[in-house]
Order: sequence, then C-alpha cells, then structure tokens
Amino acid sequence: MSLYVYAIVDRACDPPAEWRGLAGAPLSTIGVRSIAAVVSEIAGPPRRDTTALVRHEALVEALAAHHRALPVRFGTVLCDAGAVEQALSERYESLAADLVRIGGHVELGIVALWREDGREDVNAAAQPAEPASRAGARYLQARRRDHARASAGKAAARQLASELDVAVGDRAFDRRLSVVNEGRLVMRAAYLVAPADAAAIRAAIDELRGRRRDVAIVLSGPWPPYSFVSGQRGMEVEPIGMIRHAPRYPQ
Amino acid sequence: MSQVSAEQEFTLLELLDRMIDRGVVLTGDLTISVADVDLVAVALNVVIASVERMAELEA
Amino acid sequence: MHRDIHSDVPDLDLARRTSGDLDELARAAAVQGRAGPHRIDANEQNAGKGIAKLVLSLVELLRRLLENQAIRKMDAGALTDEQIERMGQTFLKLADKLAELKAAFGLEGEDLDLELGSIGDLTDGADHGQP
Repeated sequence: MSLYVYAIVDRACDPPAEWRGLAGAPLSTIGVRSIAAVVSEIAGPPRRDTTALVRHEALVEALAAHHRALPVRFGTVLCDAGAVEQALSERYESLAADLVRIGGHVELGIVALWREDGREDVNAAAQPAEPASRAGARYLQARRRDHARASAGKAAARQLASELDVAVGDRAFDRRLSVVNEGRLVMRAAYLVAPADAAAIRAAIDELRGRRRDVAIVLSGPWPPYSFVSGQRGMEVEPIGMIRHAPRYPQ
Repeated sequence: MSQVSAEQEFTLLELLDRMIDRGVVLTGDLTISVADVDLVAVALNVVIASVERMAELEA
Repeated sequence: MHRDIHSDVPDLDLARRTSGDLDELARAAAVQGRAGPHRIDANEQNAGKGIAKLVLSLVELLRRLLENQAIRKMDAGALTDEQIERMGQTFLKLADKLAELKAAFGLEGEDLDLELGSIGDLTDGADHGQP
C-alpha cells in the first residue's frame, strides 16, 4: 500500500479520527522534526475524478480551518512512510518556513478580461505600414507591429494590476501576478490574505469595478494558499517595490 | 449559459488549476539523461549558427 | 447509516466563491477556450519528448530575444533597408528550422511558450524601467 499525501501541518496537529480520505481511508500523520504530512493509505494512483478532487480539497480546508496547513498538489503518492519522511527531510527548511509564513492564510484569485466594447483599438495607434517589397523586411515589420501591440497590452495589464494592489491595500501579505495579455485575458493574480479580511477585499474590488468599466474583474476564493508555496514556477513574483505597503511583506 | 452554471464551472476550474498545478510538490525533479544532453547540443547549434550569421550582418 | 456526533470532514462548499461579471467570462471562454498560461508537463510519460519540448522552448525564447533586439534597432533607425531584409530572411530561416525540429520530435502544434513571467516579458520589447 502506498501513501497519499494531502497537506503539511505542524507536528502537534492531530486530525480527528473520524475524518476519512480518498476511498474512505482513515488518516494518519508522519512527522519529521516540527512538521508532519497528513496521509492515508491508497492502493494505487488516485482516480482523477471530481469526487477525489473534492475530498482532497475538503480535507485541506478542514485542516486549515483550525491549524496551519500547506496544501499538497493533488495526486501526490509516495511508496511508504520512509519515503514520506525522506521527502519531508529533504524539504524541511522550506516547508517549515512556508508553514509559518503562509500556513494560516488564504489566497484570493483574480482574473481580468477586456470587455468586448471597452477595448481600445490598439491597432489604431500602431505605426503606419511601410511599403516593403521583400520577404525579410515584410516579416520584421509585421513582427514589429506585433511587438508594439503586445507592449501596449502588457502596459495596460500592469496598470490594472497596480490598481488592484491599491484596492487590496495592506491587507495582502504577498501577491503573485501573471500578465497574460492574450485575447480577452488581461492578467491573473493571487493575493495572500488573512481569512478574516476576505470580505473587506471583495468589497474593495467591487468598488474598483465601478471605476474600471472597461474590464471584467472576476474574483474567486478564498482558497488554501496553493500559489504561495515556495519554489514553484507559474505566476511570477513581481518586484515587491511595486506594492505600496512594504512592511507587511516578509523580508 | 446561465449565471449559476458559469459561476460553478469557473469556481471548479480555478480550484482544479490550483490543485493540479500548484501546492507543495514532494516528488522528485526531472532529471536529464545522457542522450538528452546531445539534444541540447543540437538545438543550441541551430541558435549559435543564427547568432553568428546575425553578427556577420551587423559587421 | 448512523451518524456519530463526531462526523467526517465537512462537505466542501464551493458556493459563493466567485464574484464578478461571469457573462463576460463565459463569452470570452466560448470564443477562445480556457485561456491560461501554458506549462510544460515535466511528468509526461515520454520523458524524451518533455526534454525536447523544453529545449526547443529555449531555442524559441532565444529566437524571440534576437528578434526583439533587431526590432529595437529598427525602431532606432540603426539599420539599413538591406540589413533589415537580410535579418528578416535569417529569422524566417530560423523559424523554419524550428518548425522542422518540432516536427522531428513530434511536437507539431505544441505551444513552445515557457512560463517565464518577467523574463518572458523581455521578448516583447516592454519597458522594464520599474521603480
């Protein structure tokens, strides 16, 4: 039997005996120094269906409701307790630090889209097409127009991102930002916040929506802080200096 | 698409995106085998040749 | 089934976790599918294909960096028509070569975008003079 891993918690954390993991399996913890992994036995790879995903997430959120917890990626199966201990040992410093830094917080997700009718026609501002008869020059000029269009789009996305930062204000401990600028998608962001602040942030975003009618801002969450676990690629960290309230961010 | 189902679908997608692609990773990193190193060399040669050609153009 | 007072994990409640103009989202999604950053799947069954994709993505990145340099020179008026033509031809050849390599490794139709965030931004000529 292998072990399916749900979350990383403090060593002292003891999930209730009645809680069940995937396929109704009971939970246990495997500890290394001050941290532990919450696991259950599993016969093979988990089924990738909604039931399994929902059960995993329900457990993570239930743990996080009363303790610090780091969400583990879905589908993490290690062969035995020794493998779990080794994995925890190898990543101990990072996991222990993350547990302190983010284990009690949640993330709010933002997706921003250009509204169909609110979009500036960037092409109107592009350089006039220069006549070019040869293939090489035509290619570079076309690429140059693409670049100009992309730059304008990214600048607009960063502008919106900074307005979101101001709206969220010093309630955010940290932020992840992805300036996407593809089609209607402007940007994606995640804010790391205290659970108690989620409602106030929703209200602030609502107010921003009133001022930025050219975009649709969709807010989701709260979620466990999946995006803020150390050492993963994905949304990149923008320079902290862009965010106004520096004291709130760990150094 | 009704308002309710769009919200449910989006919420689920946002959750899945996080659970499947982020969070703590406990498995090993991708290791590069010997054969793959040759692949890197092949691809870089393509680029190097182009860079040299560019340098010639600029000279 | 008898429910003990100490019960299982609370059901996951996903209601009211999303706010905003979802009609807009639905319209955008209908047009272009779920738009999102592309990621390299490092756990692909065919590990060789994963590596080829990674390497070719790096080549693609380098190609874009070089193009970006060329475009900046164009914008600055630092290139003659002849130089523009020859550079463009080189880039066309490089793009063809990249397509060949993609086909050789069975990666046609795959997106070679690396999820590089601010590094990737360097390929688009954006101004990085941030405070």
